[in-house]
Amino acid sequence: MSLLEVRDVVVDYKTPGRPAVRAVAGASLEVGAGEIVGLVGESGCGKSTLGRCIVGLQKLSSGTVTLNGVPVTPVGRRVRPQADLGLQMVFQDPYSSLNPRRRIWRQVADGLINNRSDSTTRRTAIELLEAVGLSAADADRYPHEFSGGQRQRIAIARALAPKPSVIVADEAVSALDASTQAQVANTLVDLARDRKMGLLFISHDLSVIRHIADKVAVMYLGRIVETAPTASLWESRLHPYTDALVRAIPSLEPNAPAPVAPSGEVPDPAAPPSGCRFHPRCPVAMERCGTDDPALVMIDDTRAAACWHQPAGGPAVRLASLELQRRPRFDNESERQR
Amino acid sequence: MSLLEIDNLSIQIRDNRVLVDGVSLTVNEGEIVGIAGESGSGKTVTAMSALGFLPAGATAHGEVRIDGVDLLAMNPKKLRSIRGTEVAMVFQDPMTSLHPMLNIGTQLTEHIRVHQGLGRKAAWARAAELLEMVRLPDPHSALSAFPHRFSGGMRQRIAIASALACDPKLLIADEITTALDVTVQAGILDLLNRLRHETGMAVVFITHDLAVMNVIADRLYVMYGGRIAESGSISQVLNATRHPYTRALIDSLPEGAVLGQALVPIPGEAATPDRRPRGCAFNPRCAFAVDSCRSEVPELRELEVGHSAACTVDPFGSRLDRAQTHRPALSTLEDPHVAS
Repeated sequence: MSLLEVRDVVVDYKTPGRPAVRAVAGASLEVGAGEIVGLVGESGCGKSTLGRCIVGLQKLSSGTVTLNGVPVTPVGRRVRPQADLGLQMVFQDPYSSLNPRRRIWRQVADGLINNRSDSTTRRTAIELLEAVGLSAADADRYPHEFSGGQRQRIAIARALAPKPSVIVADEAVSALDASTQAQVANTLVDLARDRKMGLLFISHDLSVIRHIADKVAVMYLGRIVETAPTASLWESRLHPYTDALVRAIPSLEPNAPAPVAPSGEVPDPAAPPSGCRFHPRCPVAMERCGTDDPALVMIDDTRAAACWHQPAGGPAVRLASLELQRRPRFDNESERQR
Repeated sequence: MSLLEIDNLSIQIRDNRVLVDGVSLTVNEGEIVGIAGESGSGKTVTAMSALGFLPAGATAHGEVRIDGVDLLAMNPKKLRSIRGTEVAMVFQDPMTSLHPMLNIGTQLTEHIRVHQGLGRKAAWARAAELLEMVRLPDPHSALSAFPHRFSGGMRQRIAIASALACDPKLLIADEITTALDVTVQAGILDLLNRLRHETGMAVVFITHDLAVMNVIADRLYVMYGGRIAESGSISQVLNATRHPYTRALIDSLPEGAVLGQALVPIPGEAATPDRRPRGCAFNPRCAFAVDSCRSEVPELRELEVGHSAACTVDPFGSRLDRAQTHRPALSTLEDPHVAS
């Protein structure tokens, strides 16, 4: 059994007078101790909602989230069960996740289980700040005295305070400069490895995830469409959507090919397409894809995909071999060749 | 004569804080020129000067010429006639750059009518044409819709359409893809590239993402601490890098790093106008810094035709052949103090 288990989670957002929006439509995921799992997808695919479900900030419509086999209780007015403190979150925007009017050590101390105003509390808070690369001299400062990257470290220190076993980082480096992204991402990775914590790293940026994650889960319109160890994902993709994501990443290589945008727009989650949710944008869609919804099945020992081209139990079909049967491509490609 | 010529531009605000320090830059017709740098490097302030905009209370020295006419010496009325027609701008956040309570048509036709003097109907037709140009699906019904109907990528297309309304010669694109998904970003980059070929418009493209620069820009200026650290063609700057800052920036990117190895961040914090070290602004973070870097500000020197760098040490100069075949990481080079 894994440390964190997410089983068939469904989340509906209901607005009176409108159809319910199914933000997460049956997602399953596992995170082990000391394991770094990247969750990637475009905006609106439900990855943040799933992250919020895991830490209990969002009620599930159905499905379960368990930490060490114990179900996680959604945050309410009552005191949280001690066990749920093992789940902590780092948010995207370090400018709004810290209180501008309180000294940072006090904000870090908020996360401590025995938070008293005594010297031990302060010492522990300072130790946490040091663990994320800040110094004791910073403890009495206010958030505005720090840069974005430093603030994100403070937020990480606060998340570490209750000694969590899993940290959910929701776009934790996306708002930072490229050079600072590396600093903060490295801090998170080192902490997860040293303290044997699970880390669920949610990001839209596959190129960051590629570097830090052991395992990647790709999400599209509320579904997880592919999971794979990071290295094998980079070698070949099983799901056409993952392939589209990778091909859209600009490269630093000399004379790199232009990144390719997948055709069409992300559909409205309130009215998802029939069958496979990616089929209207998929370059290799078949007739069946428009009617039947593929389930996420194991293709080999480590990889799973939800695509009719990939038979359960393998062998995996190379997407390149389907290339020949591609239907006429979207117009911007013919434009480029001209 | 180039379309945009920024000549020795310095911009100061209160307390003598220097935002931009002696920056010179040119943009030719139909060219996509990148300005890269971290937050606080002065890249946005520099680009905004091409519209004659300066930060509140700032004083500027130097010249900013569009078609040979200096914007800094121009009266406000004349400036207004240039903004939008000669030079237009697209901003980072498509969620806030459109008015939420006016429909797209109203927002797009306003400046078409003011600048080009078209009537309501003609302006509306022109707006539909613009939306078609940026490949927005169903442009006619989009005109009567409100911004909340559209996704981030579609809003950014609308913002670009709005900027194109009066056929500007120069488009300033300030981090226009930073807030977007990679898939949407790919579409916007493709659009910009197509537009410059179709209309001959020049683009100043600002981003801190060098991988995006690599696929879109023809030439690149790398800024640090309000000055230009390195400039040249995209392959000169990225493949035959001469400035330690550019090198460190490339190495810190996930795209530049070796798979399976930890990312290599640049140590320390970026220089800002409040906190700018003496001498070369990059010296406290630089692996190659020598004593003179702490006291003297290095001049931007031309090293090859079109390729300049502002570094007195020039640690990669002697290794140029090697740098061209593969980019060495900082750590693989010998002790910089010995090498210099």
